[in-house]
Amino acid sequence: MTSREHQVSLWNCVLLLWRLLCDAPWRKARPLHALGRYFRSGVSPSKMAEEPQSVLQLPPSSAAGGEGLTEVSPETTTPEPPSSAAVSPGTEEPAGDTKKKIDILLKAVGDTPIMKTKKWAVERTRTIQGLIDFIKKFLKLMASEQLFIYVNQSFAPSPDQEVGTLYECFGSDGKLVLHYCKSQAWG
Amino acid sequence: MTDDKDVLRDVWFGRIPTCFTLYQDEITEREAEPYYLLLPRVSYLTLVTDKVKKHFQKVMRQEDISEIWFEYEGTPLKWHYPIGLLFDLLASSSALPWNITVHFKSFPEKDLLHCPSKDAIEAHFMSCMKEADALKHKSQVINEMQKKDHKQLWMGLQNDRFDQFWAINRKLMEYPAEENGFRYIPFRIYQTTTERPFIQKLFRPVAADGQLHTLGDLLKEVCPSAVDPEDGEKKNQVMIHGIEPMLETPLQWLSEHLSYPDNFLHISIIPQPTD
Repeated sequence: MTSREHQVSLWNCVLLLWRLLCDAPWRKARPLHALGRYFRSGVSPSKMAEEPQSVLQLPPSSAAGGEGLTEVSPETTTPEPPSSAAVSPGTEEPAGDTKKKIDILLKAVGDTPIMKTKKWAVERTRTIQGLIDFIKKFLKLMASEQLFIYVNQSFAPSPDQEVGTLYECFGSDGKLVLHYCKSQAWG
Repeated sequence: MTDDKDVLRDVWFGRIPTCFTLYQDEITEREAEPYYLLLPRVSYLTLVTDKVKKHFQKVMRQEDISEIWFEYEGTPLKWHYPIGLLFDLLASSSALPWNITVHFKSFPEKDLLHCPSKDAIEAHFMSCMKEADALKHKSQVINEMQKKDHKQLWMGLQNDRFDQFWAINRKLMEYPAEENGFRYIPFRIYQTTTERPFIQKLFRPVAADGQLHTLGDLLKEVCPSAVDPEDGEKKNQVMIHGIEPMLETPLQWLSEHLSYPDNFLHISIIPQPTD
């Protein structure tokens, strides 16, 4: 082999390695730039992957004002549909609580791909269907593929149910744990 | 005084006389006669309308038939809500029979879930039961049941067998003797005046001082706008299964007797009819 041939084959190796890296599964689970429109956050998507928690904003509300990620403080108010004012009138909750986002923790079941970012702040009015659509896009699943979401590892709330309601009834330690699965995991 | 068990029967066998009419823009080969049916309040639209579907498909061309859906006065009817709830919420002040329009075209994706098969109804129904038991018994009762018990609950509903259903469902209505009721009452409050699907929160049947919570207590806590001032004009009706239970009724009793088969109390708040 001449030294020039040697160089070319070395270069091929580098290229191959680079391709492998680009296609590696852990990269797929990252919020890439393609998903940028689903996020409104103060950091770049690549940095966000390292953050334990991000702000999840799905298409219908992505036009609404963005805000910083992580800590959901009372100051971070998000414009929400007017109807959300009626979320929980007159309970003991402090004022403004209905506008606060809630924290959800997404856990994969079985052979369903995991999401590197598991904890998300979500609007209370977000529906289960909205979450399903988001996770499917995030995991780059086909539109035809099914995705099931479970509460308490026991029941699958109907797609039109709002996460805020589920959080109030089944949340614990300030978050709602949801399991997601490509096949029916529980009954 | 009648036995409280009779209430369970009365609720189960509640029927709504309904007239189904094909939507005017559907293409038919000959005129579609309306179809009359007594709908079980506790069941689901897509579970009990096989005959309606057949009736209208007879006069239609095969290529014009796709997924059936129902509408009342412009509102698409959610098949995953019990029939009695849909009627109470949307039609209780209008004259009988209930006039439902049948559609085969332009499925309203935004408003309705698809119902590809009876399995979809079963999955939804069982999921509601599990959610209810998560509230009532931390899922202990439903989890201790066998697969065949779950099947019996569903088959009881599907085949309109009161005894078959209640032989199992009574276990879901039990609670420890030292308690005065369930952990939390599974309820959902619906209003036509809001965009929200429903209100559902944690609410215990017994107050901290040991007093039984009433329907009025629940409404005051989670939906105060629905409660009319005592000296004021009556603006709202609070309806379950087509009746207005007294607001003094203990919530635990209502949960045991007026829950739908999915074990939820589905409560409709509707404006008081003016006439």
